[in-house]
Amino acid sequence: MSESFIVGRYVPGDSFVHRLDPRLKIFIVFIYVIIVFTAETFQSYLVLFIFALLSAFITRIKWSFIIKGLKPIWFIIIITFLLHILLTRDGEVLFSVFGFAIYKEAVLQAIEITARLFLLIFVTTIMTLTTTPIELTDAIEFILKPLNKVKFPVHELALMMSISLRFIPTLMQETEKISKAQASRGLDVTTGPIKERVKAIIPLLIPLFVSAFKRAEELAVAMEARGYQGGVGRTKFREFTLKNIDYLTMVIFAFVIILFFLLRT
Amino acid sequence: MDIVFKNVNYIYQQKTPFAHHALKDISFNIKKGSFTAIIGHTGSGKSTLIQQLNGIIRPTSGEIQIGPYLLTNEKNKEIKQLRQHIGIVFQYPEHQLFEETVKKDILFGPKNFGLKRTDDDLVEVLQHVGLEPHFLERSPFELSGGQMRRVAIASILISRPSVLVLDEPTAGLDPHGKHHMMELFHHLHKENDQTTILVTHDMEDALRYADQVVVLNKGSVEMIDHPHVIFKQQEKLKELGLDVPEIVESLIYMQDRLGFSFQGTDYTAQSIGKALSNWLKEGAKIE
Repeated sequence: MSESFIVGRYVPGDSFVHRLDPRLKIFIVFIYVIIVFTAETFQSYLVLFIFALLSAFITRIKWSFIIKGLKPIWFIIIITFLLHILLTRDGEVLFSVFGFAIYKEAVLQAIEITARLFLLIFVTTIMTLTTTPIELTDAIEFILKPLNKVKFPVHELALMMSISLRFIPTLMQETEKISKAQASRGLDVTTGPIKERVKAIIPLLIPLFVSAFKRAEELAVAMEARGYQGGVGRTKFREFTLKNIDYLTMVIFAFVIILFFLLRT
Repeated sequence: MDIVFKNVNYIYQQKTPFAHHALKDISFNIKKGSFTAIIGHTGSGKSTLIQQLNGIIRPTSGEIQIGPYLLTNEKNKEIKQLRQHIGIVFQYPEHQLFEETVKKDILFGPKNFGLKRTDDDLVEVLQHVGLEPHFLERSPFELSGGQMRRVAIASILISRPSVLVLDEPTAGLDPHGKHHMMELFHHLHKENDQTTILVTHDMEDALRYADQVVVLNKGSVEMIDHPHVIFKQQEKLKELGLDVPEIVESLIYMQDRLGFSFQGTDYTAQSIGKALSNWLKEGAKIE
């Protein structure tokens, strides 16, 4: 499962969406997520869906890959749908299943909530699929910059974020390596009673912690050796500049929003 | 146990944009009691290949026969018995230590496999890897890097595997420790007729210890033969990004400059020196 799970993962590419300014992408996703909750009519949902699916299309990432990668999410979406359809009791009764009355309102609400949830996850996934974690944290640092005025440590926060993101794959690799080594020594985490299985995690966790602490220490020393010091006066290697495609996207997105609000009610 | 690879393919993350064909149609044999060295450029599939040996990763297609065990794409129910017979020393094995004492850590394997090991066995295995018996009660985390490596290797040897797989076991050790470690593996191989598979970047080790060398390139077996046959093909190895051992390089030099050609297969300094002095005694003229 971990191999195909794609939420929060980056897929390298050179599509239109990949090349957009990450700040703009975050901004668009932010606005999009807000307006999803104000949608009421079928037409307005249609606009949102077309926008989401079109942007997924131009990333040139395979559909099968995206759909498969969202598999664990489907589960949550289906549960939400079922809860809403079974627990809402409003409006007229449409039909009943096994003595459960299904109300008209319930069906509508279930579809609506599920659609919203799906759209939320889908657009944010499109964003993370096409933006490197480094770009994302840089963009977040830029967006949060005004908070510096109230002594909020924006740079430190961004640094912590990028370090954690940077080390997720490393620690995953490390876990895999250690579990392979322990499996070769006969460790079995997949069979046996629950108590034994929980115990079997210890030989994986301890080496992982040991190496994580070692890594943290080495990183700290390496950063200090290269004269790293906080945010003040620090320049950036990657400067963001808005390019033509960014302006074009802004215009398109503005049209989408206008269209959406025209069709909203 | 004989090991037979038959048309083994392995693809990482199949059916995703990250798919990577790591092993391509690998077929070769490893005889019981032999010492095989696997060499190849970084990323040529060496580590992927050895992980197939105890079912840690299963081939995408093809099959591997190890003694009575058959490994295919399907899950094998006897995998735990097989793992007892295949001891794998991974790169930097000291990262796998986790117990409170060296003794407990060494006994981790036997405990999992349900093997009985006495204190004498423990002392013996420590002796093999060059550690004193008093290490048994110490915490593995207070040892030096080299000592931790030795403990980790002991924890594999204690299960007495019939096939010992070594993935760059001497990486990061000092020259003395390196030599000692390789001599230990060679000794075990000679003494117990231990089938040994060594993945290495060190051509000297491949030449000195192996009786079969497998050259991997981009996931395919490029060459497979006796080391002295492999290392004669300097040009081809260079194409694959591999060096030849120094002693072979000097032989090539002597052949080009002096006209001395070495006919033996034992590429040690001693036997080459002997052949060279005989050749000179016989009145060879140096051009």
